Amino acid sequence: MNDSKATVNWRARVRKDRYIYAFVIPGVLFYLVFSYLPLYGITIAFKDFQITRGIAGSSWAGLKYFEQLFTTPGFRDALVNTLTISFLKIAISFPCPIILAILLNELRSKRFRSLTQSLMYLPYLISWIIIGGIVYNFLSMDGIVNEIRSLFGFGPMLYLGEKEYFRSILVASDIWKNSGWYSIIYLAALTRINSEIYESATVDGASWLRKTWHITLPGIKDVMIVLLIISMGHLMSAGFEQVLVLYNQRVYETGDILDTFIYRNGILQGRFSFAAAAGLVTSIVSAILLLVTDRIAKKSGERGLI
Amino acid sequence: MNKKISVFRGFNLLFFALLNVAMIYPFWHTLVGSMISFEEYSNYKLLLFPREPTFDAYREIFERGDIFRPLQNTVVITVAGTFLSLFATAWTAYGLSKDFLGSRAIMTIIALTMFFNGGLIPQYLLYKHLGLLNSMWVYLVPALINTFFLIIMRTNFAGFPKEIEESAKVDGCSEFGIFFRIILPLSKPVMATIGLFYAVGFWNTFYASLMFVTQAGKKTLYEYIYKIVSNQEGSQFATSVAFGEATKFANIVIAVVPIMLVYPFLQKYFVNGTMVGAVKG
Repeated sequence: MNDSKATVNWRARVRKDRYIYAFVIPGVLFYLVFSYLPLYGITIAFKDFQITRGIAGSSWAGLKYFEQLFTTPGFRDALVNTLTISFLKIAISFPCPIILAILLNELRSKRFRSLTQSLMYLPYLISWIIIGGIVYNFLSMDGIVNEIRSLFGFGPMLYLGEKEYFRSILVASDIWKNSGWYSIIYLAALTRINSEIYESATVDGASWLRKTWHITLPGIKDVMIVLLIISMGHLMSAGFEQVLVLYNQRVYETGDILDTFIYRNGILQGRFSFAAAAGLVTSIVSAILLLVTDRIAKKSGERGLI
Repeated sequence: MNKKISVFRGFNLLFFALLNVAMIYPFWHTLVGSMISFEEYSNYKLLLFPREPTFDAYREIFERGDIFRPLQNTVVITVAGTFLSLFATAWTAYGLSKDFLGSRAIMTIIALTMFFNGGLIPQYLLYKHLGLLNSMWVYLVPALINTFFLIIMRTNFAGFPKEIEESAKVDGCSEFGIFFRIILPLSKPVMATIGLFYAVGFWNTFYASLMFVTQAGKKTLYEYIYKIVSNQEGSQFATSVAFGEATKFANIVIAVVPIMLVYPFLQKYFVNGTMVGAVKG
């Protein structure tokens, strides 16, 4: 195949495929403009950016804004919070869809099963703006959670104003919203496992728990690892909309994340170079985490992502 | 042994029954909450059924009228965005499903964008330069192609037997003719699924409105809702009566109903495996 193609002049190939380029080139331009061109704008992190002078016209500032960043307490809080919230979400939320998929697979009634699936998938499609609004109502002073507290004789509490509860609220509402949806992928993975293996294990007298541990989990291990690597890649975005709807000044110390920090400083206060520097730190940490995870996955004999 | 299994089955059934209640109750609470008076809301925290249903909250919203402009904007964005994005995605995906000079390099350039982005500020400066700030186009143009959907569609197109296209070519059909008359009609299921996902995404448009639009008349419905429900400074500690809870709930219901309406169609397709198959591949 290569021999015959190599003899064909590449110009002739392009001419023959010119219709294909008509399909592809507008899309490629789209990606170059909206995904690659912004990379040039990152240079303002190293400049004293002034909107009237533009990116090229602004003078260089060296590492001034990075020094400012690391001496701003709010930035260090946001960096630590982002990593903490993401790790909490992975550690606690990650197993939930796996457990859901395995248990869902054990349901006998098809109708009950499909009803459950319908209800489980729905919240994923609903925006955090809406879900956050509902969470806010449930946790407000006269909301349902405080009503339950009062049944046990406790006074009302403003959960969303308490910094030690904020991260738990983020993780819990994240589980409620997304676990059902992510179980779809595991359910699909479960159907790949050969049912004969289960049958012979049953003949050998293996319990359900042993079968789950020795057959089911190894059977979906590859899917688990791919999803784990992907979530490591998103570690630096701990959920902008979710935090934005739920947080307030009282919980900045534990709840402000990099994306909300960049939004407040960059868009609301117009400190473009400062916010761009924060964005660049975010990207670099994110890339390192993704590469390290991928390397670990490959070292332990898995396929990896990159 | 058998007894053990049935105990497990029983617990499992109970677990999912409770889970279903936990999934549905917040939505039900919101719906019931939007249809009751303030007195009823203060007396009953667990909202199971409206004792005296009233549509006062909805009437109040429509009489105030400030929801209409953002609602109209969001409807326009959803309709225009879904068609534009679906077309742009299918158009590009069809080209990418072919083997041509540079196809591998181009796929790499596109797939890489799933792992990085320039960040908010460079994005903002680019949009400013392109004249997208404070323009309705900022909702449509940067969101034109979703890479994940593009790859799903490409996989779908690549799966068609080559003979169909070849025989169409013999019959004198051009490449564009093949795309419009053969590929698109054959791809109805995947087009419907991805179209619905795009529609839900455009309906939920919030980020671009918050970041790139300052003119009140061009804001989207979800930013309007955000201002009403969010935990912004002050609102938490102000009296909740100022913006009655029922009105907040009614706003949420208006914003969610369209998604609930398309959900059964959406679910029909993705459970049938169009999306899941692509994820596995």
